[in-house]
Amino acid sequence: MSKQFLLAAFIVILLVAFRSREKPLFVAPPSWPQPHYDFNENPLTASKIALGRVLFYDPLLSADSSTSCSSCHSSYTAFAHTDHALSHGIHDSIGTRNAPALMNLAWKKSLMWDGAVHHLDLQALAPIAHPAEMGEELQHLTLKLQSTGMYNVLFKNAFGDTLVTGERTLKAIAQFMLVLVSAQSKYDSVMQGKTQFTLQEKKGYRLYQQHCSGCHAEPLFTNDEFAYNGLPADPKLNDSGRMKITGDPKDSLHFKVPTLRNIEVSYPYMHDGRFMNLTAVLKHYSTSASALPLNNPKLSLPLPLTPADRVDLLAFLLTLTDKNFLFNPDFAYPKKIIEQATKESERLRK
Amino acid sequence: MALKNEKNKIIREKKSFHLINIQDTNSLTISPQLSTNFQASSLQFFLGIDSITNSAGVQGGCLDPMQGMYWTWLSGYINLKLEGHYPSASTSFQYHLGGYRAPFNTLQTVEIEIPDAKYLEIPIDIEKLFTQAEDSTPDHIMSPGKEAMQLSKLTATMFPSSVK
Repeated sequence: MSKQFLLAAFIVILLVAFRSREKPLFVAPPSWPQPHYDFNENPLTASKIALGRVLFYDPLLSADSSTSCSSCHSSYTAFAHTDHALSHGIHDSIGTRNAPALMNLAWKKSLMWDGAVHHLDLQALAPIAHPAEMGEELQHLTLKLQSTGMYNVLFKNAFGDTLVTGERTLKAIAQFMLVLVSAQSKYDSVMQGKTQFTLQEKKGYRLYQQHCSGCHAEPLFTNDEFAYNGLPADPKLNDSGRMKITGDPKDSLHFKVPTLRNIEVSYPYMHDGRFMNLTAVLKHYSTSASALPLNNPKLSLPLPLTPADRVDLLAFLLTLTDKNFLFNPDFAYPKKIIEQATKESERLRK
Repeated sequence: MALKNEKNKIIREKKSFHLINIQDTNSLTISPQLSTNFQASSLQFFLGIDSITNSAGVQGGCLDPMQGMYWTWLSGYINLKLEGHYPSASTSFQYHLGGYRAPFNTLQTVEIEIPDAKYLEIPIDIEKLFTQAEDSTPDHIMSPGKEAMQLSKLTATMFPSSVK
């Protein structure tokens, strides 16, 4: 019997040793809710994530090869666009909304400021096809990818053969977006008992819990719902937000609650990028009355925050910056993957 | 796609999605994977994509968004695309009909009485859509909503109630 036990223990150790050699592709932080994304429908593999990453950084996805996803979603700013309040696309077009930061997308029930997209797989279609963003047709894009040697290699690695389809292209991009998990900020270390807030950060955390957590709920720092936050509509953009999708006047000027994670680097703020810094955002919430009736039990404006409170709150918000996420080499421009795939395609051509 | 016999027994094709493109003659002939050993008296199908399929992630084959039958700015399939010019006027029309969320679920059911035959020819009378549409119907409908709903209800009438 002890022999059997030993053998079992030996096998377990072998398995553990084998498994620990490879980094897991996706880790849901243990204290977080279950991801909304169904990974069984699109099981992650390293080669599909690599393909998605190359696609994400490739301006070939746009009609004139000028604009990639990363043009407006830079890894160093939590995949937001700090140069522009509104998205900036082909032929110097300017869109109508602020490119949002990208992280923890596996937990999202819907995407875009108005929730127009219901599934992460189908999200990339919107900026690819939008005439003021990448202005490209998916069908045409698949032909361009099919005739590029590097992509023949990457698609074969990912899917077993070189065939490019819309489904494969979108699933690969979704896989790269899924692995963009940010959960290693100072706030997270404090919650795990590894470090402590400063006194000022602690005060700020209490103020956050009191005034902000109704919508920007822990641990994702968003409830993933739509809300009106009292801002007057920009008369030029005249953007009614969620109402465009539901047709319900109750949803007028409602926009997706963005996450506060990495908020330090993902400026400018709001759906139209009207605030350049967090001081301006906090000023709005603590000094402005709502432009229109709020009808929001979670928010009453202005919030009773003194100037000193605002400084404390800001100190807490800065603890949500996750440098491991911002400077993760696995999320940056995939130079090595591109070089290897290009070399391989040249070798095959000979 | 499903077949029904005289005793109201129904057999359904699994993963039954067919895209008909008038510009692609190959797509005009459909060979459904259904038992040939079934004395069918009627043929049933949905015109459009059901809400469960609409709510899922990206799919392949004729459901691949690269086929151009998926909206890009809003998640959801376009059930029917019809574009053209009126010969009598200089105006064009453009109908992209779809939408699966209540109360504007545009999915239509078609049932056609059929003879027991291996090969069936089903005519589609597009004119019926135009003769029945109200005068107030806009020339361009390209998003889900009330107007798409009203016109979609007429799309099923383009199919005959029976074929010989």
